[in-house]
Amino acid sequence: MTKNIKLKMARAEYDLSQAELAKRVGVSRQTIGLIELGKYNPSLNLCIAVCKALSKTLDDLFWDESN
Amino acid sequence: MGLLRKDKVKDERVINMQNKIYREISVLVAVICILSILVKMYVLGMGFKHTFTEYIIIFAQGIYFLIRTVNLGIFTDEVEIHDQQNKIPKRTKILIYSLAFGILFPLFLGVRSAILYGEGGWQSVETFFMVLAFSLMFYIPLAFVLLIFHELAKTHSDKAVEKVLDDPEEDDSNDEKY
Repeated sequence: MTKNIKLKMARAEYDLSQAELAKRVGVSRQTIGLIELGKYNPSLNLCIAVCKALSKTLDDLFWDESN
Repeated sequence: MGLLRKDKVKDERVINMQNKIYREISVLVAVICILSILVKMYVLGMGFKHTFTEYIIIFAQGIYFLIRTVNLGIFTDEVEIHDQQNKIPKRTKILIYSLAFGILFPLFLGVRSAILYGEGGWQSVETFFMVLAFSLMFYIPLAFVLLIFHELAKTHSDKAVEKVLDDPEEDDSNDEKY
């Protein structure tokens, strides 16, 4: 899996740390970190929760443009 | 040979359901072991040595779970999620519960000893305080041992988290902010 740079940039837009985003979404900091590094494949529910926390769409954050 | 061929397509829903079933199996095994211990000791009147295997199974499950969660860094996540959702941090809860046990259990032992072995009057009171004192000396430090154990597990788990989150392509490996 490739890194999720879009998620990191969206988080930076809101000036949120990984821990702060994790708290808003209801997961641990490690989970957010692993998603950004591309080392964890989040469930659809988690993807939606992250999108809502950052006011973005699934395409904005999780669409893999390399394909 | 169809029997030996591994399936190439892995359905995530099927895998998740299988994992859920494996989780239920581990709970079932623990329950069966506990029932076996109860039946052997209180119904059949067997001694501790006849329940050794069941104790090993129960403790081995718990110890394996603890070691794996610590080594994978999940222990850190569990504490973090708990602290997010509760007013009292996990560390404080462990201290409170273990101190409460460390005081209440000696009290129970003191009362039990006074009733079983006391001869009435001041002798019973003396037995109560003696058993209470010695039990407190043992069980209060145990509370702090549990806390130390928790801290050691958390520290080791934190290191595992940092190792997993370490991104070799970034200058700042601790990418907590951005």
